[in-house]
Amino acid sequence: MNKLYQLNDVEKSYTVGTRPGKGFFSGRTPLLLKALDGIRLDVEDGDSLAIVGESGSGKSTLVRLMLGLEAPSDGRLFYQRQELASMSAADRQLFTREVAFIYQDARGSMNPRLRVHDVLAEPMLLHKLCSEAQVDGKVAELLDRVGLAPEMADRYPAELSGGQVRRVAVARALAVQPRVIFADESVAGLDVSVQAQLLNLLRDLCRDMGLTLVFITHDLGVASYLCTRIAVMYLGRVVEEGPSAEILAHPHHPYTRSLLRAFPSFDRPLTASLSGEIPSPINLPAGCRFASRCPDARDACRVTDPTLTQVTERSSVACLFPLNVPEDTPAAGS
Amino acid sequence: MQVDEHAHVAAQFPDLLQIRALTLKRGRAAVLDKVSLSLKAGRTLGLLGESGAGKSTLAMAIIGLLTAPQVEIQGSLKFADTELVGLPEKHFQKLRGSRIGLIFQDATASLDPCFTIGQQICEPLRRHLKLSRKQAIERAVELLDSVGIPDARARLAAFPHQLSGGMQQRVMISIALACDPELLIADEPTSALDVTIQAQIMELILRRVRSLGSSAIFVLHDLALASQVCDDIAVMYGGQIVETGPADAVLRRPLHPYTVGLRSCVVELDAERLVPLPGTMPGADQTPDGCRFASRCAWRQPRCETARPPLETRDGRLLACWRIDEILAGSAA
Repeated sequence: MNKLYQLNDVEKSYTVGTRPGKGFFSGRTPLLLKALDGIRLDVEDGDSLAIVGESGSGKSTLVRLMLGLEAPSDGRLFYQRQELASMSAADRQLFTREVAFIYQDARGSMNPRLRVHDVLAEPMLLHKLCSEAQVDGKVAELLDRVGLAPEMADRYPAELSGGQVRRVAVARALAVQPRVIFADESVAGLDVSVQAQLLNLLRDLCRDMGLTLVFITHDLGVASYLCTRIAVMYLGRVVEEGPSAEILAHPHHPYTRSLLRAFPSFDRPLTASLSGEIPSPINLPAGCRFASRCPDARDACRVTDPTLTQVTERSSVACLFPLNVPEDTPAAGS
Repeated sequence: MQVDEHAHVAAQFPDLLQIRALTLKRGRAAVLDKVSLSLKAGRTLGLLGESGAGKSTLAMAIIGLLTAPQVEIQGSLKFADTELVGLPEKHFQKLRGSRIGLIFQDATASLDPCFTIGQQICEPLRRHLKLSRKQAIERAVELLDSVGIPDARARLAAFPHQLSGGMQQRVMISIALACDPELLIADEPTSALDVTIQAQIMELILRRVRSLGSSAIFVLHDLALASQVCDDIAVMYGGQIVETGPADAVLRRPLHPYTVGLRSCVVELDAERLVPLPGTMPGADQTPDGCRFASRCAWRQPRCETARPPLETRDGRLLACWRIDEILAGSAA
């Protein structure tokens, strides 16, 4: 299949201050925050990929890079074999049309002074996807596609409910006839009933229209429901990547296993599978980044930094002692 | 709620909280409509339902944050032996923070940005327990320690913005539990947090509540989480309770069509296809005469649209549905 995105050892760091250098005359050395480190990831055409991790794991930074909002500090990021950083203006414009983003705060991402009609019409007219005369019909079509009544076109974003606003956000993403849709926590904070409606809508749209979906979430249930592949991130690294079904049934990384155990379930008692919080990305520990919270950490883990390596046919993991024996799966283990 | 193994234990304790036909009106809209509930000492109750169901309103009413003249309250709300409806604010201030602890969803907004963590934890200790400055600080260190904040003594001088969301929520918990309250009310305490932190925080709240022998009311939207932390469940819809009973019964084998619908919306790890509830909840200002869920219910009959179903005991729980006997017969078959 056609590789839409290709990330080769992408790194992103920010300077967050300075500290005194070693010698008297050496001045101050910059303090680097490594938000992303050595990301290697492919997204194929028609794929659906969920990026899962706690806050502070670098999910959103990764998406900002993939959207071209920021350039990587190191490594190379390709969209359709073209490097994002060195795209021509014309290609860049095509790129912005082909890649759509649904923001986490759907209401905040819309101009409060524009009616829903104008929110949806603006990107279509900007990219010259239809003429002024056709735009009303197109808007009605979009509203219908996301399950909203045509009279919603006359409302302002503030007059819509939480679920309706997110549907408009989905419609706006579809307005530019994209190839890829990025969605950042697009169902978080909604009632379960509305969340279920939206998840079904997104899943059906991607399947029917053959769209590529990159979905950012901290909810493994949502990830597995929407996406065929999951990439688990921890402290700026992808620690496990593979087909959803395999990751859920046989997680290879202890972090993934902990995430699965912490996921609320009707059949399991509450388990705080992980103690502590994600460490600061400013002072990264040597060795495996998860070692400080890993229940299975051994001495070697604190010395050697594992890289993402293939463990089964379709999945890879960054762990010195990967789990894949059936006893370690949460279903049997807890 | 007397049908589980805790029945004999529960019977020894009187009701800590007794709500009888509580109606709360904003203008002409009944936000709560004849809600009756009781909570035994040492039990945890989960309030479930969609936004607008009245869960938070009920919690706010219990702690006296919604009183006349903003709203009109009828019925009775009895905490231990105090009647809370019509209780003067002065008396409420003595209850809040000492005998009733509160945890809100948004810890960032609940903590005062201008005061240090230490000042905010010491305030209830000095005010309610009349501790001296020194004693209060010692107790605050113990409290922060008990909620798993590392290096507690140094953190007393920190301002809320210097802590992560999870740490702020831990501080909120330590403030809520500072005076060993008999009742803890937690309104979506973890919905802003990561799942891993959520599990830690929930386990912490439960452990502390159990060790104090207190009761707790959790307002939640996550049914799976509710099944893990609550002894009893009350499912609310349109300001009314539609199903209430032990968590095991209500969540594992829901009977009310609304609870069944909510349950089928839950994203589980092996979900095949979610079945969303159709439509939306009617607003509090447009209350139908009959069952409020009727417009979205697959079991709807003409009777459902004209008369409100009473809460009746069925299969170890209380249910408000006209067609419950047919549903029961169907689920048995």
